[in-house]
Amino acid sequence: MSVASPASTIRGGRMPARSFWRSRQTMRALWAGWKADLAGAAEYRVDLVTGTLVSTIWLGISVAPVLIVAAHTDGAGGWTVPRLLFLQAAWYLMDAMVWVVLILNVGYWEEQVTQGTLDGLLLRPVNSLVICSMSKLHVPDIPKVFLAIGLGTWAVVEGGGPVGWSQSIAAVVAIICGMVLMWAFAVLANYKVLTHVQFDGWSALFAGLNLARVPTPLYGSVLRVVLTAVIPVAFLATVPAQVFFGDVGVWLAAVSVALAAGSIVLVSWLWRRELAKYSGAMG
Amino acid sequence: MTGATAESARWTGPRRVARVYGGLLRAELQVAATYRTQLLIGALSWVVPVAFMALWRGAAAGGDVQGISAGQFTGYFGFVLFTSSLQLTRNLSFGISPLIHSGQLSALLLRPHHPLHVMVARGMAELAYKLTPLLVVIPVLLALIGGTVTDSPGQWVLGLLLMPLGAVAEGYLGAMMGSIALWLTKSAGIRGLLFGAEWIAGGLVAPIVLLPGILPELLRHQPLWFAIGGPAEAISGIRAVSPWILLEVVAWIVALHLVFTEIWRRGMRRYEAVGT
Repeated sequence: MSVASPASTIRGGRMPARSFWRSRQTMRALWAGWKADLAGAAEYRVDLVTGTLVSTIWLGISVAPVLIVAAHTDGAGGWTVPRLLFLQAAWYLMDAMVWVVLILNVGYWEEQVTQGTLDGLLLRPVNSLVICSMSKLHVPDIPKVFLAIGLGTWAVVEGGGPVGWSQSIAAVVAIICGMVLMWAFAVLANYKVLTHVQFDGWSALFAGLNLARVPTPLYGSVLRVVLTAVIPVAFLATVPAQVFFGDVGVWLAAVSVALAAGSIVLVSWLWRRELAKYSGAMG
Repeated sequence: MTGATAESARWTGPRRVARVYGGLLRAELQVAATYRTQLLIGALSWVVPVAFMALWRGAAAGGDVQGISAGQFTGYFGFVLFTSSLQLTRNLSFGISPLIHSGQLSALLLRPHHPLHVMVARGMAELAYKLTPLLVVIPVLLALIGGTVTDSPGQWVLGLLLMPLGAVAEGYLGAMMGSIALWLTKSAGIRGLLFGAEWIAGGLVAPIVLLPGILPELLRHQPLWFAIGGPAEAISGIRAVSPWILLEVVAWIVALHLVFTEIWRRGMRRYEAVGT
């Protein structure tokens, strides 16, 4: 089998076709992995029931502070209860992203590097970053997604309905971008495990996620700037809620898109750079 | 694993326990020193109380909430940051299951002391590294954003005494949850619910005095509040605690010890030592 060098591939103008084939192959591999996990989970229905129950309880716990605030005041720092609830729904979706996708994939990199099983994934003719970070689903946590959507709907009804179509679409776009950012945070926090073997970036990731539970303007002026411009925690839950209720312009959704695109480029580049140093000597 | 060996692994006299802990702590402190940077990062990454501090400061910006000022909320959540970091619940609740899977529990049962002493000693050694930065961070945080504390020395003493006693009581709850693994090996989700209870009943999301109905009066008499919110309420001056609370928490510890001993004894009967 002859393998063309990247330079010759680009010179020969074959890169787009190869890239397209690779993306298609990656998507097929991803879907096959997810289907297998869903089929496997069907055999453990008790796990699914327990997962739904536990997820519902945790949703209640996440919403509890907002409800307690609502029992005593009209809101917090200008954030009314429907706004706070919508923010919680967006946050819970990010939490679902972590538990359904990221923990089961990125969370096992250390073990895979130590045991040498990562090599098997890297040899597949697909995008290694996508497969290594998203190929497995933790099905018992999938109900979190539906619970988040339910909470979001309740928040919208409580808030008197959507402000407008453009705000609603922009908020959905901002939420999707938030999920991409969440994925990028997880990879950024853990990619060094490829060369350092013993590396735990989860505490940093969960710190960011937990800070996103509360509207970033409530952290005060300094932290607000840090959590928006330096570490874009605000784009996980605060910005989608602000966009949805028309508190900021829909253009902020475009900033979310730019941030998400930038994070994909950055993370892909860092992954490739780290892979170049990966020795595969363990296992 | 024989029943006699399992039976021998039980709580023993205080002097023997003190000696065991002396040895275990020496070993575990050395291990924790190896991972000190990771422990430090872990301690500084626990930001949930900071998030709720921001929420409640925002709620109190327009005026006191149930008589609690923004400064008191700051003081409360500052101390909750400390008390919630003090707990060994995570080590105990999630520590037993991996020991069963790996077969390490069988080896630990052969030692002349209870296997949980190892987990407690490991947690205490980690606390030495996790709490040290908080002793600097919390006063700085309170000074910077205007946290207030009580000027009553009695409440300070009560709060500081309640902290370790509450942690012991909650530790027993963690050990009981961890013991579920002796019956159900895949029970992480259920065991995690103790943390959920800690958030509401412990006062992690809000001082329990703000909860509706009779909940504040009920929740003031259980271990999670003794461990997390109780000391913080006393020291921040949100609500004074009675000295009788110390007797109450000691009574809880004795009761929880007896219940845990029974749970462990029954769990050992079910234990099959099939871990690899």
